Amino acid sequence: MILDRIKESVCDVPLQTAVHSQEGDITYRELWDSSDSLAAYMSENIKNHFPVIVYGHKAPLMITAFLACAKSGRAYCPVDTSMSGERIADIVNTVGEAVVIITADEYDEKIWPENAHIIDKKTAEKICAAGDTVPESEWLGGGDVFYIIFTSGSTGKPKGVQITNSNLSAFAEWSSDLGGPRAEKRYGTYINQAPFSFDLSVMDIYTSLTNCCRLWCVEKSLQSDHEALLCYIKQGCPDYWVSTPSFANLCLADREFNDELMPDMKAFYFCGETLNKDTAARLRERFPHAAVVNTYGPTESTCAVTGTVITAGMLNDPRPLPIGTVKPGTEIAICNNEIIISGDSLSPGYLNDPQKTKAAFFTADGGMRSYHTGDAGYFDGDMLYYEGRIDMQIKYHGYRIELSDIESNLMALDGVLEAAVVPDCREDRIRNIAAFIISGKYQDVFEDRQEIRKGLRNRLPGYMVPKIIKFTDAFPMTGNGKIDRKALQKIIQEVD
Amino acid sequence: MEEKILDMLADLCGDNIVREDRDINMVEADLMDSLDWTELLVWVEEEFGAIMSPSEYTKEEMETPNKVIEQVKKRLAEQGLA
Repeated sequence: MILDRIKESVCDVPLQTAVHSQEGDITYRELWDSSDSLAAYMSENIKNHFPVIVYGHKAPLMITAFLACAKSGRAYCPVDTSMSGERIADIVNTVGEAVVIITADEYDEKIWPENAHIIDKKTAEKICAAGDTVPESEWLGGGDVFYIIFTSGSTGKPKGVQITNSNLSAFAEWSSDLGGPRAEKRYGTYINQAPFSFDLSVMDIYTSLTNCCRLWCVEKSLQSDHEALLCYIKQGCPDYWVSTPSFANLCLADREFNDELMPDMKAFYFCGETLNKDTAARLRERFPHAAVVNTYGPTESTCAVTGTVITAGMLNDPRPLPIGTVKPGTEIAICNNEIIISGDSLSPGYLNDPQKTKAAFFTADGGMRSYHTGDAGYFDGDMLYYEGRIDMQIKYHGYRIELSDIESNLMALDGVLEAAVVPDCREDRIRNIAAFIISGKYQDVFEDRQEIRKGLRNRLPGYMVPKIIKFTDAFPMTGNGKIDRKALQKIIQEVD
Repeated sequence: MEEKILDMLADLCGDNIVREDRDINMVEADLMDSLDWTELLVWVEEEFGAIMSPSEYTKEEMETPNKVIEQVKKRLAEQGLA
């Protein structure tokens, strides 16, 4: 299980830095001892075994708290400082009796319920230094829930996805050898972009900790300061990189983002969003010695369940990039165009929400527990291709249209670097389709807008050609570092 | 009234060029399709009370923003609404 693997790293490289953020470093030995002491405190002072909320933003103490929860037989639920009070309230309500470990210097007391058991940063640090230990018999068992990550859920209340110890172990076992054998990864440095409340971070945190690597966390404040960002990344001398494609695009906008800045780069891992050819091609050009790895998976099946190294052949193929072959232990079936997942990394369901669990999880013919991803896809041999969210398919003038299909065709046009396509909805009706484009070639003049429409008309039926063409230098991003499509829709509505 | 028509055309075409160049040929430029034309005429009736049936007009008679404005004015005058 995960803690055993991390313990091996501790024995192997006790003095190596395990986690680095702008707040400071923590070595494997410190991580292990501090989490032991914090676990002992929880075992002694907290009667219930409800999940523990760990609040903060990328402090090494946050990872310490994660391990402490596991060592004291509790699940943790990461909550990032960027989350709104409303969302946090929803999470607290779902979790139940709240135990909160605060790893940030400042926090708003009002967002936590009055009866919450709060361990603030100073107290937590004191407890960590106490040197207490906890017996391994207290550790989480294989079937116990290891973490709960709340998915953004485009509608309604967020859902708490429960991931067990054995789910996570199965994932880490696979991700350790993804894009290169684990033996080569040892002692390397992983760039972490995603907030810990976004399950993309599971890939860097646990692949790194189980392979004696160093986790180099990029804080959110850096993402708006290019110079400081590149400087910080360079300082980490990274070997591996885990981010959303949008974050890589943000970095690629700078010419200095190349293999002089990061000479040791061995692999870039992407998940959480569609990886476009343009991004992959530019990375391969700037980092000729690094692999670009595309992965796919919903939070409900532990971060990712498919992956592949992107090859020149895939970039030359007219189809969008594949999302990979299926990890051992996982089975994927395509039913009515939908990707259905079952296997050893599948969540037992949503926390305290049997209704939503029943709606998404089901028992397939043959008795396999399975999950409806809501993603459309198809296999070519053993390679899986993603065709967009089923709910990103819109009905427009009576036609069924896949918005991501328009995006990939836009990006296939010469001069279009990135594109995001959203419906222009007014009074619940789709008036038009709008495309936002990042281009080094085109300008916001009628002739250029026409040229883009004309280019698309050669590739797509007329009803799929966006009427509204907008240019931008950068897309608005969500707290998780994905393109904020809702914000784009708002821009369209405000224009008229 | 002109402004309202231009707003509607910009909305239907999804492009502000119809405000900047009122003589642009919206048919040739592929900015309007037949669904948009129908929508435009329905809107004119709702907005100004002028009844304009699609069968009464050729596309050539309404292919530019200026021509659309002219035809709407003409129809309003004919129906005593101007």
